[in-house]
Amino acid sequence: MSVLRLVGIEKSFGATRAVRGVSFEVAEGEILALLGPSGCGKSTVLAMIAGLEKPDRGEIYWDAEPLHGIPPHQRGFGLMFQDYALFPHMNVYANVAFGLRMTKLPEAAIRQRVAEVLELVGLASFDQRDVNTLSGGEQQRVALARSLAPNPPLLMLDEPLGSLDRALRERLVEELGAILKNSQQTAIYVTHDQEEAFALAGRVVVMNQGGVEQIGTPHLIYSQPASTFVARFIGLNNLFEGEIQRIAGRKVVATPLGPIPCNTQASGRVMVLLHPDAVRINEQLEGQQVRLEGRVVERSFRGSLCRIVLAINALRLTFDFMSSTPLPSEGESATLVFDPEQAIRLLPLDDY
Amino acid sequence: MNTRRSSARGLFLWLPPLAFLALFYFYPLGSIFAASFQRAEGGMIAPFWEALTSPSIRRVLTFTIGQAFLSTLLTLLIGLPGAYLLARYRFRGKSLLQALMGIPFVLPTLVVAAAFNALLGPRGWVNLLLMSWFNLSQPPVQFVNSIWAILVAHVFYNTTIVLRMVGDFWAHLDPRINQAAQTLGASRWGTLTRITLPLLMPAISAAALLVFIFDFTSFGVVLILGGPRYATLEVEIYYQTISLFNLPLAAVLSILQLLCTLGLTVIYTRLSLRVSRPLSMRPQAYTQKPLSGWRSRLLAGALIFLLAGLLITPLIGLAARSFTHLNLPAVSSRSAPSGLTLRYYQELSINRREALFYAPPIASIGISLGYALATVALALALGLPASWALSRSSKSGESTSEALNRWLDPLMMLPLGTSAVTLGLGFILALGRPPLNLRASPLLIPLAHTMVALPFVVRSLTPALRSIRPRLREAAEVLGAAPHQVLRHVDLPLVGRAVLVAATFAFTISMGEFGATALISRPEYPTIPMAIYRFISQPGALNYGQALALSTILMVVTASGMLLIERFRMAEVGEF
Repeated sequence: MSVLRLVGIEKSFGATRAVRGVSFEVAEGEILALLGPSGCGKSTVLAMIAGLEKPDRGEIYWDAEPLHGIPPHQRGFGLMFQDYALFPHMNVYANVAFGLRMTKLPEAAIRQRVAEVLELVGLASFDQRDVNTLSGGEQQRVALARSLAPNPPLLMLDEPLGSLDRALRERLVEELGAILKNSQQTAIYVTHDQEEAFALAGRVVVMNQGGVEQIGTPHLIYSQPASTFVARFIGLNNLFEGEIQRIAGRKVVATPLGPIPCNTQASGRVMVLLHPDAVRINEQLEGQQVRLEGRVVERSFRGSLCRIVLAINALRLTFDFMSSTPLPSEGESATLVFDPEQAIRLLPLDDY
Repeated sequence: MNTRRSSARGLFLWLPPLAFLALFYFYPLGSIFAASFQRAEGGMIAPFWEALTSPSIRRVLTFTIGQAFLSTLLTLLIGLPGAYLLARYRFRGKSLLQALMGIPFVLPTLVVAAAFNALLGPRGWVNLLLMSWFNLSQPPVQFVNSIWAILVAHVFYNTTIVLRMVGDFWAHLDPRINQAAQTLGASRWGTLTRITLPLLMPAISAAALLVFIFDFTSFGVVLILGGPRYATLEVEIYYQTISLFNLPLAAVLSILQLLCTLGLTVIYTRLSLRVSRPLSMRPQAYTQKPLSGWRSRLLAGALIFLLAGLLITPLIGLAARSFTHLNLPAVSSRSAPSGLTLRYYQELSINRREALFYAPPIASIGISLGYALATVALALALGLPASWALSRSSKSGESTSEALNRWLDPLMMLPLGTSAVTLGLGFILALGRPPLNLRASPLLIPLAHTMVALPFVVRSLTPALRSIRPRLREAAEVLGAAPHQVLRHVDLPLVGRAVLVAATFAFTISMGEFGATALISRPEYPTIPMAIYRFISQPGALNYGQALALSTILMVVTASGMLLIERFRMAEVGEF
């Protein structure tokens, strides 16, 4: 049952169309990620749900009621800002208590709730600290506590880990996920990092240039990206053009690698994605398979993975294999093996 | 780096400015102290007690505080909405508006007084128009010599401070802090009272305090626009010195005033430290949005109209009036046509009143220029080493020069908290007799002007010198530049603009200085402000016209100086 529904949202700033026709739904208790590069309009979508910006067109419904005209302070949603926007003239306690004070809760109840959420984010003894003296990770948790304190029916997080270093980010993603899932918080999580989005969200909305490219579970988006943009954005770069042809009654896609059998309703020119996960090197595979000879032009060690760049017919394809498996060295020839059913995705050809 | 040697160099840099302060600030001030105890038979406190219990002095004191309080309140009332507008919105013509609004602050008091006279005085535009429309024989608006003239002129003067200090701070406040409050359930009013105002409070109180200090020590405005009925402490000191020659009482009053302003300045310094506290500051481009919707456009339009009306109309009125020849049926029976004229300007080069001037009024322009150039040279010669020493302090580790700078920085700012009239009185008392008799020296006035200008010079040079990252110097050194080459090829080019700004500050301050000059200038060498003062205190249309003409010239000079400063200032957040 969806609690939040966006229908055809449009927003322009001057001549820039920041958001064009965005529609999606969020179910109760679900964590939805808005994923896209910076400037794709995802933060603007968040600002419109919060009521900080007004959509030019379209409507946002909460529990089937339109939110149009309701000011931000009456919506009751929580919003955790990029860089946190902590009140610099208040200590940790006053920051977290702010939203509760606005609801005119008795002070005793406020004190209890503040202690509760500070405990939840692991800052139990920090209540009297000056927020200006906190580290980035601590500020982030105060901001989370502040937006969680009033028990918002919807929590929005705008790149909450954006300004932290990588190691801290990885740890906090886990903590954040645990906190959100334990409290069954309905949440929208805005990020440009697909790892964060995949780790936290039940479903992901991929945005590009103000529009929605794809909505789906992290697994679906990773295994079946709907466009070349999505594929490239999540790091799938083995893309090349092809053309659907019918040879001897069977459909194939003619590519620089040669004709590859495929099962598709599409016709004409397409973009072909060779998904790296379904590809083996110098191995035998069961069932139907394509085998291609190439030469290793680059091999670089990356820890548990090893990156191999393979040149086949003037195409350069990149794959990550487990470092523990036997791999060809640079300059050696190698055989690429894949089941086209598993490894080939046909995407609409576009201008990217 | 050799710590001892570098701190010795720091001391060496400090030597000239410190010697200057000692001779021309502390020595005159000490003389004022000495003079105030001259007739103290009943102990040190007695002269002060006597002054404080005298009803006439009490009246002066009450009036000084009262008018400063009212003026500050009015200034905030007009300045805060303006600061909001400038801080949060982008609109066409904004930078022009900001530049224009900066002008009043640097205008000499004499120009401001003349401007309001040209607008609202008995011969000013408003009265002239009303008289001709309604056929009146007497000017209907009694503005000059009323408390309103003082209040309005103070608001005119100091609104810029509020616009600048509060506006700058506000413009860099992250609007998302407000949005966070709104999403947490705070209404617009709640956001204003719980978030915005508390965050702005250091800036607002610092601005208010500065405005109060300026209003408290106001001299020219009160002397000329207030008339004989109103006297602030500053004006009273002047009267006691010049008219009554009661130097001991003048000294006592100076000390009283000094204590007040020093106290206020200390609080101000504390507050402005809090203003520069690094709370999530944002670049302006990020925090400002265009005006949208007819309501905000209408409000902004009304506000801009009000601000421009208050801050610019008197100046236009002044310039226009100085070119206008008017013949009033009620004032003169001759019926020469009214219209445009250059007569007031032409008269400036004619030596009509031998007894009054010894020289044609235009000579005052040359005299002022000479004094101003001397002031620029002196202020830079003293300000550069001081700022140099101050800027070196931020480098790590040098604890001795660090401590030195902590003491010397506020010391350099002391003259800012000392009124010009007090300074003038000190010069009269200390430098008019041996061992340091400068009464006849042409350097006396540039010395006083340098004292007034030095804090501004140091304040504009230090941030620029600080902004030279040590990395640049190190890079130059690694590339083989000797210390003097680093200075010539790295430091000086980078500091050039700041030096220009500082020089312009010193120049405009000297051109317009009136308080100290009024006490120490010699009648045969009048500066432009002195000439204006004499003209405006004399009856007659020609004198009035010449006062306005000279004021217009001075206005153009100082306003161009201000615009030059605006153009070349580096930092987005200004230091006052």
